[in-house]
Amino acid sequence: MNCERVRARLSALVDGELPPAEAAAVREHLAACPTCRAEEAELRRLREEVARHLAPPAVDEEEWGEMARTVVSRQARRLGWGLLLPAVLVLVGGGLGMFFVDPEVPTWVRIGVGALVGGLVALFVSALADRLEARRHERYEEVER
Amino acid sequence: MHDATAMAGDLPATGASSPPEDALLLRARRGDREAVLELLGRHRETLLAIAWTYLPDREEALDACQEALARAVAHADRYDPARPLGAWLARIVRNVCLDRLRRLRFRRHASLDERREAGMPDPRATSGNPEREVMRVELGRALRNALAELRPEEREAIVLRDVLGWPYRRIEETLGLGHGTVASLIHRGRRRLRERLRPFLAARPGEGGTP
Repeated sequence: MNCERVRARLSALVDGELPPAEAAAVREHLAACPTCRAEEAELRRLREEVARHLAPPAVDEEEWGEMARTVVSRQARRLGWGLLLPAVLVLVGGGLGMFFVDPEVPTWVRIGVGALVGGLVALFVSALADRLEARRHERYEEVER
Repeated sequence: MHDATAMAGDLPATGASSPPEDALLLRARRGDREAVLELLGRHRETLLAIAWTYLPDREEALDACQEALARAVAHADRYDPARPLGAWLARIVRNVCLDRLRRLRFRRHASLDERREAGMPDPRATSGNPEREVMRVELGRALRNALAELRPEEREAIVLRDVLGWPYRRIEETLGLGHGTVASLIHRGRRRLRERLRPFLAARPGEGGTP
């Protein structure tokens, strides 16, 4: 086996992932080639350093349990909001509709409430537009992809 | 009863284990705590190892794991059961981390590495040889910078192999990669890391490394 072929296999060799016959051939070459041997040594050192510097911190069972609880309660809140928002929209929309068709409501109150609702809707739409625009530029905001 | 210790995530995520992961995910979506615990038990090692390569801050990394799991549960309907759940979760946690990194850089003008290093030198290690400790910190920083330049798949395959000690096959199964893919990802990734880290990797007298 020549140096080029050996080097293509060194990573798998140090990981113990080469089939035995290939591993034997690579080792035979290494015994005779100091350059490839130096490369193998560097790879082993690299593996050690990755393991040393990127070992994640210890996390105990309690913390994992807490994480699961938080995920569950976030999900419950999400489901809650999913019900609450349409209900609020229906009730507020219906209430406003009834308010505006009620002939007993004085005109100045109608104008005031109309302006208030119009203002709120304009603010909401503008905030939503900003949010959507920011999201379009936020490459990693999506759940996946 | 499902107890978190029994699901320490040491079992190979073959996908053949019961109950199926898509069913678990749907149960989790309905707010089933046992299902969330089971999912976390199966995938927490992968989630944390990946999060830690991007966010070297314990709280940030754990928070990213939590965010990733919460997003997966909330969007369970988008999961394709034909692919391994580990691959989907890996992708989500990666995106959560990249997103956070970008925000942290904007907001703080101080990198996470600096934060970590501020509290880093381990007194046990420093007491022996300060010079070596400085070198170690430098190497750690160089390693993270070099890793950041790899493709995410290369980076994650290397971390799952070297940090968690997983065999190639398990990495392929977890990340949903074809046979032989992990070998080439790791080979290419390490080659680039070696080029970047060569000054650090040359064997130093009196320090371990190679026999």
